[in-house]
This record gives sequence, C-alpha cells and structure tokens, in this order.
Amino acid sequence: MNKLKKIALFVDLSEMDTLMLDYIKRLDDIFDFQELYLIHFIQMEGISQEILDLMPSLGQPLTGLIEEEVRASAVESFGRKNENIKVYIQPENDLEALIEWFDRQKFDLAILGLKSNKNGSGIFSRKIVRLTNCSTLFLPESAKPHFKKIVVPIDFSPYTDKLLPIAEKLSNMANSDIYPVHTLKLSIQYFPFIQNSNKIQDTLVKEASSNFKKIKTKYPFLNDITILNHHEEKINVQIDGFIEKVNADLIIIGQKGKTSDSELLIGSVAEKLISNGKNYPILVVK
Amino acid sequence: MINKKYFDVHKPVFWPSTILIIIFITITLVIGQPMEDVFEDIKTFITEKTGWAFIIAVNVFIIFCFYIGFSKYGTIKLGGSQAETEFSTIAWFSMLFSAGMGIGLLFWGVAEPVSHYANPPSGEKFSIPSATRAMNLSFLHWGFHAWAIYAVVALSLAFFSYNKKLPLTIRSVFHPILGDRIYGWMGDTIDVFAVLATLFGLATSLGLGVKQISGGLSFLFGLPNTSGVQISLLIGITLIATISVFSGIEKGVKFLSEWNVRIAGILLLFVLIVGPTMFIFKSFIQNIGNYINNIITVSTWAEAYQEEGWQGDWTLFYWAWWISWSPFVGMFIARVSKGRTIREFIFGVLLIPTLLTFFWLTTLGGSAIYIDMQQEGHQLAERIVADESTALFVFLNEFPFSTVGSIIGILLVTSFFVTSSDSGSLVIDTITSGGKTDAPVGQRIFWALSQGAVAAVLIFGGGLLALQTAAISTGLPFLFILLLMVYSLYKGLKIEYARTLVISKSHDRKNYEKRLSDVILKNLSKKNKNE
Repeated sequence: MNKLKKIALFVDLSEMDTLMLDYIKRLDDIFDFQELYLIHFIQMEGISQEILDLMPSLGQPLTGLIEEEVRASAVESFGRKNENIKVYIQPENDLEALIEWFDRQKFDLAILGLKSNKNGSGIFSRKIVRLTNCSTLFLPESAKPHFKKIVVPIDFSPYTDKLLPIAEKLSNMANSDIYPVHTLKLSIQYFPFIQNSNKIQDTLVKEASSNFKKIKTKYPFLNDITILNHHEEKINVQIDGFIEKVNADLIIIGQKGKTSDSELLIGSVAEKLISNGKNYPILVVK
Repeated sequence: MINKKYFDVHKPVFWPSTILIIIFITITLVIGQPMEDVFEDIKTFITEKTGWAFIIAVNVFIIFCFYIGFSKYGTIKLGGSQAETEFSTIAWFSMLFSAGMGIGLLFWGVAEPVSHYANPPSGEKFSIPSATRAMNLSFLHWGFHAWAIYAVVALSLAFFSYNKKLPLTIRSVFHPILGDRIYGWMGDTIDVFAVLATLFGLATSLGLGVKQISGGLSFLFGLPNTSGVQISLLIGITLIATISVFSGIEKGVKFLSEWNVRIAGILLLFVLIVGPTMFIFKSFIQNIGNYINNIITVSTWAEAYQEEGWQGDWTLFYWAWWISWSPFVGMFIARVSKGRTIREFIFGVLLIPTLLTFFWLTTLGGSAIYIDMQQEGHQLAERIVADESTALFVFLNEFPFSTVGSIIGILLVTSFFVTSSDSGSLVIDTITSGGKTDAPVGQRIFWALSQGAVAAVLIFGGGLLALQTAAISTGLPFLFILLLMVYSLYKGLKIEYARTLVISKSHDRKNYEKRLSDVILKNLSKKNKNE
C-alpha cells in the first residue's frame, strides 16, 4: 500500500456503515482518495422462509435493492451523488468469488468494521483480513477521524521494513507522531541461563536499541523507541496497554511477525488485537 | 496482430533455451566422435558423485506423496471445491498410463528384465534368483518411484494453476517460496531448466524410439542398423510429426494416442494368450509380492560395497530420465486431472499406472525370461541382450505370426514417437510462451524440429550412451528444482487448507438476517405507500 487511491469499504447494512462512511469522508480531506468501492456480501444461506417469501413482491432482485440501499447511505454521508463512489454487491453467497474479484481489483486499502468477537459478529471481517492480499484497516465504532498519534510495533523482522514507509507517509500527510514500540521476548535459547535474567534483559535492551538506531537513521521522523518487558504478559496485552497509555488513535501492524507460520494466515499478535476489538483503529499491513 | 501470428514467446525463457540448445548441438557436431568420451566422463562423474542424492530424492518423493495422500490435505480438490472432473475415471487411468511411458515401455519392456537376468549386478547369471531379481529391479525402475516423481510435478502444476490461478508453467509452482519474483529472472531460470530437461528427456525417448525402429527394420528386412540409418529415420519421422503438429493437431494426436493404447493392449493380449499364460499370471502376483517385500532394500541400495558402475547404467539413468521429462508428463497429467481430490489423484497416479506397467513387464520381459529358462544355452537371452533395440522383435519371433507382430511393433513405436514429439513440443511451447496453451503453431513446429535435431545429434555423438548422458545431466539440476517443489507444494497446500477452514466458518446469521429483513420490509412498505 504505497499509495492510497483506491479504497474498499465493506458494508453490512448495520449502523456501523454510516459511522464508517463519515470517517472515510473525513479521511478523504487528508488523503484525497480517488475511488471508493462499497462492497456488500449477501449471505442468503440460513435466511428464513418468511423473508424469502417476501422477495417476489419486491418487484426487483435483492442485489438491486441492496445496491440502492447502500448508494442511499453513501449519498446521505457524502451529501451528493459522487461518481467516484461505486457499489459492488456479491450475490450467491460465494465468498471465494468475492475474494477473487477483490484481489483482481488491486485495492490500496480495505476498510472493515471492528467488532469484538462476541456473538460471532466479527467473523466476516476476520475472514476478509485473512483471505485477501490487501492491507486492511479495522475501524471501531468510536474511531476518531484523525491520526495524531500512531503506534508501530517493531520486531526487526522483514515486515518492519514494510510498516515504516507507511508510517512515514501517514506522518507526512496527517501530521502524526509515530511511536515505535518493541516487546522483549526471552527466547528459549536463554533457558539454561535463566537465573541471570536481568543481565540477559540488559543485553536484549542494548541489542534492540542499537538495532533501532540503524532504523532511525533511515526514518528520522520516528520518536524514540519504547521497550516493553513485562514477560508475564502476552505481547498483545503489552502493546494494548501501551496504546492506551499514549492515547494513540491508530496502530500499524504487519500481517505477520518474526515467527511466520503459513498455516496461520495472520500473525497471532494482529489476530488477538483484532479479536479483542478495543476502541482504536488497527491497520494490518500485507 | 499479423506479426504475432507465428511468434508469441516469453523472450527471457525462449531465447536462453534456444541459444543453449544451439550451443550444445554446435559443440557436439564440431567435436564429432570424440564427444563420446566426453559423454562417458560426464555420466560417470554424475552417477558416481551424485547418485546418492538421486536415491534419497526419489524416496523423499514417495514418502511425500503418501503423506499428502493420507493427510488432511487429501480432501483438497484440484480446481476448487466446485470443480468437476472432465474425464471418466477409466479414461483418466488410461491417459495417465500412456502419458508416462509409451516408447520407453516398448523399448525396455523385453530388454530390461532380460538384461538383469543375463547380466545381474551380482550373483550367478541365468539362475532363478537372478530371474526374480531381474523382475524386482525392473519393477523398481518403472514402479512407484517413477510415478511419485510424476505425481509431485503434476500435482504441483495442477494445484497452482487450477486452485491458485497461476499460469501453467513450472515457475508457478514456486509462488509460495518466491512470491511475485516468479515473474522475474528467478522464474525465467526455472523455466529454462524445465525446457532443457523436457527437451533432453524427450530427445532420449525419441532417440530410443528411432533406434528401436531401425533395429526392427534391420531384423525384418536386413537394413543396416547404423547411426546413419537411424538419423535418416529420425529426420523422416520428425517431419511426419511436424506435419501432424501443423495440420489438424488436436484431433490427430487424440486419435493416435487412443489407438496407441489399444494396439499396445492388443499386443499385450496376444503375448498373454500365445505365451506362457499361467506363468504370466502366477509370476505377476509373485513379482508384486517380491517387489513390495524388498522395496526399501532395493530402493535404498547405493552400490556402497561394490564399485561396479551397474547402478549408473540402470537405476540412476531411470531416476534422471523420469525427472528430466517430468515437466512433460506432469503437465499432461495436470491437464487431465481437474476436479480430482488430492487423495484420488495421488492414489490414481501412483497405483493404477504402476500395476499396468508391472503387468506389461511381466508379460513381455517375464515371458522372455521364462522361455529362455526352458532352453539349453540361453540363446534367446543372449540375442536379446546383444542389442536392446531388437529385443522386442527377437522376443516376438518366438511366437506365431512373428512378422505381423514385429510390423505392428514398429508401427506402434513410430506412432508413439509422433505423439510424444507432438505433445512434447506443445509442452515446451507452453513453457516458453509463459503459460499460454494456444500459442501460434509455428513455435510448436520449431520445438518439434529442435527435439528431432537434439535426438539426431545425440545419436551422432554417441548413440545410447549419449542419450543416457543427456537424460542424466539435465536430470541433475532439475532434481533440486523438484525437491524445492516438494517444499513449495507443501507450503501452498498448508495455506490452501487454512483458507478453506476460514471460508467454511459460519457467519453471524441471526443479526444479518434481521438487518436484511429490515431492509426488505422498509422497501416493501415504501412500495405499498407509492401504490
């Protein structure tokens, strides 16, 4: 996602749609998007017979009806008809077809509603982030449409090199402060020397700081790195605490981290941040 | 558009391949006869120094195939869960069989078992142990290991082109490792190797085919069996193949390959009936048992305690030959296997063709050994071993209507030659045009002619030895590509399986149903109001 021109928003006919459209409208002032696709996936499977019986009396196919509905909400948010806003409705309950179409379109960014994992209501979003090749922004209901403070977890993996240029771009365009953060991990290879854990920790901190120095020469806009080392807590919990502490309004995280296992289509830290669904937006970079 | 009509290639693959082939042909022609020593040295070096790597690799392929077949990945369907099969299972089996071996089985079907029987790697010649071991070794060379190599390549090609929608060329298989770099120089390099391997693997088959035709003609009509005659035959048949490429193509090849299998079947049936029928059935069972019982010992045997060079001439030659033309067979198998699950695919490709091949070897080679064992002095075996290219005809001479049988044999080899050359040029053309299957016919003619040229040059530069060396030396680099392919396919399957799990997870239907019905009801009431 080196440019931000072609944006996809997944709508699900809920109140979230309006909130997300408003949010995008504000972002548009900063980023000047060129195309916005509103995408809806019709899930006919499991729809009750009563509703199916109502269909014929509508006088038009369901896809057309939903398309009108989505278009109307776009007009409502953006104030007028805008031909750069397009609507795509995926009928037939075929998720694979949707993903295929989506990847062909080569979007720069996909935007999805962030719902906590209660009642399985966030499952669709989490499928999309796993299945597409596109970077994905998760928006919680309470998201504020500005990026003043952005947290970027750094694990010195190849993904770090993908995250930082994006952070740089955002910082230039939206005037944001970038907070790099690194969580120390005591690897198994230190196990025989564990009695000396303070000393090891010092070495690790030094190593991370010197690694970061190299990064900082390439990306001078970064703030100083914060190193988290609460070993008893999981990485996502530590990062979550840090975000709340600096009161950040976005976190940019790689699709995968250092330990990438292809069987997990998304890294475990990103996955946990998404499924815990707090009140900050999460940008998962592919 | 008109300029493109006869030429539409992916330049970074087409030109390096073409130039390397031209260099090879030129060197061999310029050096002439001394080239035979060069081939000998190359072959000895590769088989002595890297033989062990081939032996490990072919066993890795088998283990991998069985693992994939039995594992949870076995349920993945080639072409996605909605894909349907294009051919009936019977038609599929017979296509698998005819694709893999063809000429090779005609050439070696009699010659190989008898050779092992007459010149065993160790122990006494013409004895019962050497006979059973002869069948065992022949089964090893034509059995599971060969088909596991094909299965790996075919499955990778089918998976990445049908499920992942990548172009149908070898480079696509490496997408999980290389990502979009497969479209750059790395992918080009892989495809160049694939082209060279296919071309030399095919040239080996074509060379064997033409040697056998010439051997048959000499046996029947006393024509001299020299490399000059062989090269003239090669030119003649390559031209026929070129005409077949140029004309109606698809239909012609389909017609020929169907009849190839039928005529081969008739030949098999003929020998089965007029030959030692009961012996064939009994030994078929016994040979299979023997093969299964000894498979680990024989397939890991590496000539460690003896330095005979036997293995280089036989086992390693086969492994390298199968590997070198695996892109060809693999692509063919991939094309006909859409809609099969991976489990069906693995066991279909591994078991059925293997059993048919075993039956062929038992009926031809096994019978030859049986007949020879009844004779004092072992003249039959001696005559068969004296010249592999006439082995089939010497054998058929033992039966009634032997002239008819031999003529059928010659025609069969010729027709296999034409179909191999035709479909081989299609495969090479597909790779050199970047995965297009409908590239202009002119290119296919070019490749048909180059295969013929390479085969001719190989015969000129050293006959059978040169053919074997060509297969072995292009097989070696491709061996490493295949090992990488195993890893890449595994990674790809892992991701695919994870994706199918994610897709099949059910959504939150209750909330969605409510919202959908709200929209519908709202519109209904709006519509009613308007009316």
